[in-house]
Amino acid sequence: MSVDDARDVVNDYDIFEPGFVTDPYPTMSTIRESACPIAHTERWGGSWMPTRYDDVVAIAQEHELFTSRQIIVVPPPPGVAEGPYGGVKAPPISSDPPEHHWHRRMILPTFSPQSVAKYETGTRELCNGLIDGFIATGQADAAAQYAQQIPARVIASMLGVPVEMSEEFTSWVRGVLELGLTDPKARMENRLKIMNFFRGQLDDRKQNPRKNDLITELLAATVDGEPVGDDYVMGVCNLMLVAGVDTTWSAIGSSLWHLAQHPEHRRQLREQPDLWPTAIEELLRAYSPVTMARIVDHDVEFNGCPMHAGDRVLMSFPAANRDPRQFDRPDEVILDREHNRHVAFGAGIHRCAGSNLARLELRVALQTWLERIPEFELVDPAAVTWAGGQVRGPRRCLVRF
Amino acid sequence: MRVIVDNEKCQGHQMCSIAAPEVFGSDDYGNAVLLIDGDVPAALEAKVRRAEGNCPERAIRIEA
Repeated sequence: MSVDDARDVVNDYDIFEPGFVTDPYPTMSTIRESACPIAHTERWGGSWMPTRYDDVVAIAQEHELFTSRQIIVVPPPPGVAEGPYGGVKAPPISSDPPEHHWHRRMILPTFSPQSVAKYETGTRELCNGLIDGFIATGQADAAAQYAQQIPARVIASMLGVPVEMSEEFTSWVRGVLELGLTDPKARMENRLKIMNFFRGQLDDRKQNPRKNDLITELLAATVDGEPVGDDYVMGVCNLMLVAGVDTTWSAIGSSLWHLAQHPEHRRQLREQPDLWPTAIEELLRAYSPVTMARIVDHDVEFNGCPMHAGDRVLMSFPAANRDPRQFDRPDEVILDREHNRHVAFGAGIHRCAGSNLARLELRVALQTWLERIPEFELVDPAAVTWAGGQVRGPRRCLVRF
Repeated sequence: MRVIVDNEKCQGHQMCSIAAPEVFGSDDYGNAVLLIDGDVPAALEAKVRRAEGNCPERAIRIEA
């Protein structure tokens, strides 16, 4: 890349440029090693993009300066009505202290390692069922027919809503996080569908409370003696769907895309099953799907960058996780990597609340695939398609076996 | 070797319990708790070093 190209990306990057979506790492590296490792662009409403690990972690941890008033990477256009659920957000991801504390504490026990362990058997059955559906054909779309099918069903069962809804869930979430990123109308329409659905679920639980049901329990929960309120419960349901589907599906898809091209890693995992825990973290590091945004609270010079109140900062966890200052040979997948302080799930008070569930789904999805389909390869590497922006992962990934 | 978890810094990433499940567990909120009292058994020292080197919040401190 020439000096002029580098100047372009540090002043005018475009996270939706097709080349960046397909392979963002060279551009991230160019920015990271330039004189301006925190790049800026006027595109898509304007944003800053830190690419060095230390900057991304510092920004994530300084939640008072870098607020979560908006967390989506492209702002809603000014003056667009947010509709009847404008006040319903996605706590705790959209919350700042002091409310953030209870917004988060209320749901953390649901996602602790001990709590999510009960979903392992069901997730394995689900994965096996999906593979049963295509294994005889000798090829499959590892993204659309497998990865995409898993998280929506797991979340549906957690929320106590019909698993048959998972196709619709996936379509709504893509409407918000993929299509909706650059199409505000689509974002609002799909957001409304999600909210209307959960409005109905809340009303149903009020009429017919259920045992061992997350929505019923949240509706009965109190803070300082007061009910948490419908907006909070709706917001949590919204978050579980929007944050729990595209993200995990992308991580599963990217990992299968990687394994399809690396027989030596397939063999390593087969022969050394005790590698799985570090392998999962390494795949999360190398193919971190999620980029979140923060809003600058007040004018500040941050590492030489003149940031203004209201500016958007893109928390490029994928870029941080490939920083050679933090990771030895960052562009290589090393399944037994010894030191891996990756921030695929973020850092600071907004560390992904669902990370333990995501890890479980990723591990079970990959283990089940490799047990059933130990050898596989991409049908055509050039035909793999990717989504990017807020969540990056393969959307079409045909493999044969 | 002794190991300390800084509960102010810990955000519940679970990287320590993945690296050294014999030494680190989690509370109801998914934050790290130490499962051992006193010195780290010699056989687990390498795992504890690994846990320290995997914490994104740098919430684990090792004292020789």
